[in-house]
Amino acid sequence: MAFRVTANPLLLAGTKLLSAVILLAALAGVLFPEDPFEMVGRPFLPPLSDGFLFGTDTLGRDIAAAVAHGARVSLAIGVITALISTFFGVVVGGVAGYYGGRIDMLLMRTTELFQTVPAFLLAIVVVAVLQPSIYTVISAIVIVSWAPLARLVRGEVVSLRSREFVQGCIALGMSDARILFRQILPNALPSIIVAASVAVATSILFESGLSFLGLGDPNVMSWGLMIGIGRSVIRTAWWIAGIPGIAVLITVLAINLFGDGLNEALNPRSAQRNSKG
Amino acid sequence: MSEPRHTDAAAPSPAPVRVSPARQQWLYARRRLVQGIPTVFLIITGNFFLLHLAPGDPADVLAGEAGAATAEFMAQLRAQFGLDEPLYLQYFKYLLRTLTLDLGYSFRYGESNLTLIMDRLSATLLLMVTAVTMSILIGSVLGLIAAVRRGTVVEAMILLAAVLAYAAPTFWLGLMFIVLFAIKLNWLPTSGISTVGAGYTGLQYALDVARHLILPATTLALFYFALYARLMRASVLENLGQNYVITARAKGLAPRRIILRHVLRNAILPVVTMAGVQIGGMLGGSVIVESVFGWPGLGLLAFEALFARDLNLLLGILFLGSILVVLANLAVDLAYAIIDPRVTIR
Repeated sequence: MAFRVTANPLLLAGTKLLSAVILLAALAGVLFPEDPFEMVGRPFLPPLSDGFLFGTDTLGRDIAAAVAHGARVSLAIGVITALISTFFGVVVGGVAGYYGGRIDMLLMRTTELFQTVPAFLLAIVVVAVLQPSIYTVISAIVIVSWAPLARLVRGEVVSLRSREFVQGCIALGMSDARILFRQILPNALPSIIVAASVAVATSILFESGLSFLGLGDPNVMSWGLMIGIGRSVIRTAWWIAGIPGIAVLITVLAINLFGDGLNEALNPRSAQRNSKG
Repeated sequence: MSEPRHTDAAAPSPAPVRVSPARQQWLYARRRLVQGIPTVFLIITGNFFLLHLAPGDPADVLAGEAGAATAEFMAQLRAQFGLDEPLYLQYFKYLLRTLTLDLGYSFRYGESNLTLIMDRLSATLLLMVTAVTMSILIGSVLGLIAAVRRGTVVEAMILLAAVLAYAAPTFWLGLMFIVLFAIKLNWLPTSGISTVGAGYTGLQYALDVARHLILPATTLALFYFALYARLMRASVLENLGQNYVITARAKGLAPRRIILRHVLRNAILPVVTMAGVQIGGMLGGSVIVESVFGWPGLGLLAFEALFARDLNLLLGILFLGSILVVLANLAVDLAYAIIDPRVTIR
């Protein structure tokens, strides 16, 4: 399954942008060693002020420092929630697709239920009930994002399950778990990886929405929180909310491009069907 | 261990009975409604769990943690909920109350939760219907143009717009629209549903509401526009390679006619399906859009309930919001059957 990254412009652009965001997150502590909550300058300094590339916020905190530290939070929450959601999606979808019948019906009705309930509203209620913290935010996002992954995995498993190599494994007397995890799922891996990368992007959007509403961890500097802080002064100082939003946009854009490119590289047939390009 | 679909297909189909299309649709609608019943039960069960997960006992939660509740009210609540009774009995009572649409009382507002929610419903419906229509219309038109103008600058621009709209956080986009169109350009109002104290009536009032609707509806629609434009483009391109298009060309039909009369109708089906799936997502998104624009719907109510820590009101909104989605999905299914006569309603 070798592919050349350079031959795929989407993947290349996505990888470059994403590397920039990851680099920013990694170097946040070096570039801005102070606590991003620290008040370091006069409040409401516009961007490109002396010493403050992106200006300062309502309390004189450095927006550039907050953006860099926020990159850590956004990426970490995005990756962790996507991994957990993918795990649940693979287990639920795998079992449903492999065993079929009643288990399948029960599990798929459950995923349908989670897709019916307004996702963001459910996330809000979960965080509100359990009190905002980084753990409840992660749990809430996982609760609202595992279902589409489970459906995808189920679809893949159902189509692979009737293939001859699986029949062969059954005839050899392999255990169900071994067939599912060692034989079927590796074949479904390309689609799962692509879906998981998209899940990272949606998780970042969910997290920023929650912390914008004041449901993030109050002790963690995140992009959504910064936009929430800037909201009340939007008339006089648009950049306080504007700049962190651009950071979210660039990050989500990078991950989406990366995911699209990955899809073209890993699933060339389905990508061609989808884009005819 | 056989695949369920195979057994379905192998089952002998009942002898075809002639039933009028209207009756068929009614039967289908009824069947789908019946299928929605377990969903409603599960949502109520989920809400019950959430109530019990919250710190403090459910009476504290139900009183809204406002500190405004009197001791008598708390005692009354504890008795009403039977908090000393076994859990399954509490659950049964909760189920029964919710099914009879008794969603409790909000101390903050001095009003029953059901009344509060119903008062806000129409504003949310107006916002959602406008946003869904906008996203499907604009998304399909631009997707169609992108497919027809494949390989041109026009296509590149449309795809770029879609990719950007798909990545932008909704609430941030809303705030930036306010900065640009309401504050800097002063074209549109910043928030609310109508001009306070203007005393408009009739057409003037409708126009006033429409002006207030533009920014929130556009904000909510943009994310979905991006999705539908990409989907429509792919769908049109796929349809252009189909045999029926080749036949139409061979018949000597004008390209414009082929696109508008034949391809459009077929290509829009996946967009409608997708729009149906995403109504729940859009209702969730309206929470954030409404709170940005102060649009007095369910979303803003949820936002206010959040700040008052009125969890029971939040749970009520979640419950009725989910029912709204179940009904909307049903409506989309029926609409689908009207657009595509090949869809057999069983």
